[in-house]
Amino acid sequence: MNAVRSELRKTFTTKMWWALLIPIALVSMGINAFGGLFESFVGSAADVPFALPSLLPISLSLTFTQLVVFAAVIGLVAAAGEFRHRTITTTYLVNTNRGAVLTAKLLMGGILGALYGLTLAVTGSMVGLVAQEAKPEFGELLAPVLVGTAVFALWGVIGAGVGMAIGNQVGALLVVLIYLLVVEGIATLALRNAGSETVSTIPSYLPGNAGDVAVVSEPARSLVALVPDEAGADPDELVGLLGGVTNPASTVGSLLVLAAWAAVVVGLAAFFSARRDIT
Amino acid sequence: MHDGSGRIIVNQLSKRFGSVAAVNGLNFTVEPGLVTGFLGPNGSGKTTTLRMVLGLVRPTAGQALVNGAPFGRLGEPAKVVGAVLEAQGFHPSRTARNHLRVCAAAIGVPDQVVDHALGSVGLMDAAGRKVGGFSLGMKQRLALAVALLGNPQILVLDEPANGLDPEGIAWLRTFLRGFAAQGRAVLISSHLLAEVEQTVDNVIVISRGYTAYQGSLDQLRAGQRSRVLVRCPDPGRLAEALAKADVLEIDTLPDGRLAVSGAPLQTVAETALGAGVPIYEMTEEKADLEQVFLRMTSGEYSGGQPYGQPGYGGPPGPGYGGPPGPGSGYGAPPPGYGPPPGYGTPQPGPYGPPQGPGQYPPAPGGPPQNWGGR
Repeated sequence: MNAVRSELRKTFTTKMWWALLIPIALVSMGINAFGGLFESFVGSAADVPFALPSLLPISLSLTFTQLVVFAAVIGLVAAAGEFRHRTITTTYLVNTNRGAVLTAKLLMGGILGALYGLTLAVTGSMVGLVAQEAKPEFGELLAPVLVGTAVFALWGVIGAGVGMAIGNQVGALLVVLIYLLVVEGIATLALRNAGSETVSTIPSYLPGNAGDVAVVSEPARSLVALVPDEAGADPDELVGLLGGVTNPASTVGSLLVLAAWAAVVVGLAAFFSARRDIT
Repeated sequence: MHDGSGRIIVNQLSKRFGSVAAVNGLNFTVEPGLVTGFLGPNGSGKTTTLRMVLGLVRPTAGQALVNGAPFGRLGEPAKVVGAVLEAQGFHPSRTARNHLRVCAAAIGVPDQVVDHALGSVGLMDAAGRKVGGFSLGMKQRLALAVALLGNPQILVLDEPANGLDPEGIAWLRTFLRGFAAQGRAVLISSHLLAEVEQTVDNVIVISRGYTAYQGSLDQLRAGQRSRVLVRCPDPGRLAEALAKADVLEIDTLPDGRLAVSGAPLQTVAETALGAGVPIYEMTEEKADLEQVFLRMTSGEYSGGQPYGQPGYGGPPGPGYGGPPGPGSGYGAPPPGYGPPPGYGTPQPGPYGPPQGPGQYPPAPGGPPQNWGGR
């Protein structure tokens, strides 16, 4: 408990946590204004013969997929900044239980990820609700918010875990950013075009894709449900398109895949941080 | 959890980083109520040793006990040991008070302790300032404030004088003496004996990862010997004559003078007269503590001396009497008097293996018993 209190103070006595919130809020407001733009483009609900659906749930879920890297980064910096500023020495001097220190940092990563997710949801929803006349049902909006926040929390944990496993802030940042922004995209493309059914399903088990699928799953399915059956729209196809996979799992399934990745990273962090010489 | 003795016991402590043996079977004890100096040149393994004592670095072999338990099992370590280490960092944009609040939360002491600690190191006025703007000396004080938060029994300080101005050093000296006077233990490392000479009661000297001396400073002073420096036109002949008179501890200084140990001034003068060597200058030199320290640790650079053997260099080897000149015929120059590296016998490197038998005996089964220490 002392370790958690200490981590909370560490985070909230520096600027990083709110500095990274600014781009989240701005981008979320920008993306979620889309429903309003769309409406003014096709004409308001009064001008078209059928009711336009609210685009807020789907735009909100896409915002989560676009900004998830911020959750990983804040979790990582909150944990591994101690190596950069060499305060880790002091941390271990006053608490020799490295497992407790790691647990507190992982928890902090999760808290920060969730905070980022909620900020994204609140700022995006405010703009989206104002911008578009068609309003979503509460439940429709709640699903992407909850799932997105969970995904952000998991990525916060993963970020903290990678930071503690590598023990070097810059190195860990490079690993996370290069993986999320470059490697996973290329790997997904390569695996899907490998020509084998089995191989092309692998991308849905990659952490970035799994998180994306989890968030977009519900809003995309309910959007497809609005399309008349004779058009033959396949909900899985839209989810797969948005999530970048061919065989999207369910929301819960995808969350579990991401959680499994988080568990692997936590295991590595526990292994390496317990053995690391602090010189 | 621990015995509350306030004692640090280091037993056969070793650490290898890859192929480099940073610390090699170190043994020493730090007693409560005393300030113990932990001395050795840069790179001799001091910091690694302290970090092993503090559970930050895992020993390859041996153990370090604080209050009878490894540091990692103290339970509430900050209430037993406060430490100020080199390379102990701060977040530059966190204020001094917030840094202490972070640590106070981790230790589990109430926040009032923070201001008390700030006051006791004289940082109260800077409490609300960001640490990024602090001088090195202020950072040292802040690190000390962190160390004091848990009201520990033992203080460990790694090169605390770095960055402190003379006033700060004097303040620290008074502070540490007072701390020890309360029956608590202080372990303070330095690469300069002079820096801590007025602060410490006991010294531990390490060189190349071995314990070179452990004991009281007074004993170290008492063990000193003087030597006679002679300038003459024919040092070779004088050395031969002295050798015949059974005075064998003779070295050549880089400037060509002879340094004779183990014989009084009179004997040297009379021998010179008997040999017909004119003397231009003769001085008796008392080694000061710094030189004793240098001699004990200089193996680090110039090939070494048998430690625990007082005196200025070993007896000259056979075939003595070659042409005089630096490094040519009188055996290895006494480390500490000659110029440091590169002079005299070439060595594979500062961290080379022990040079020959009997020089750095990490004797199996324990350290030599003749340190004059406890």
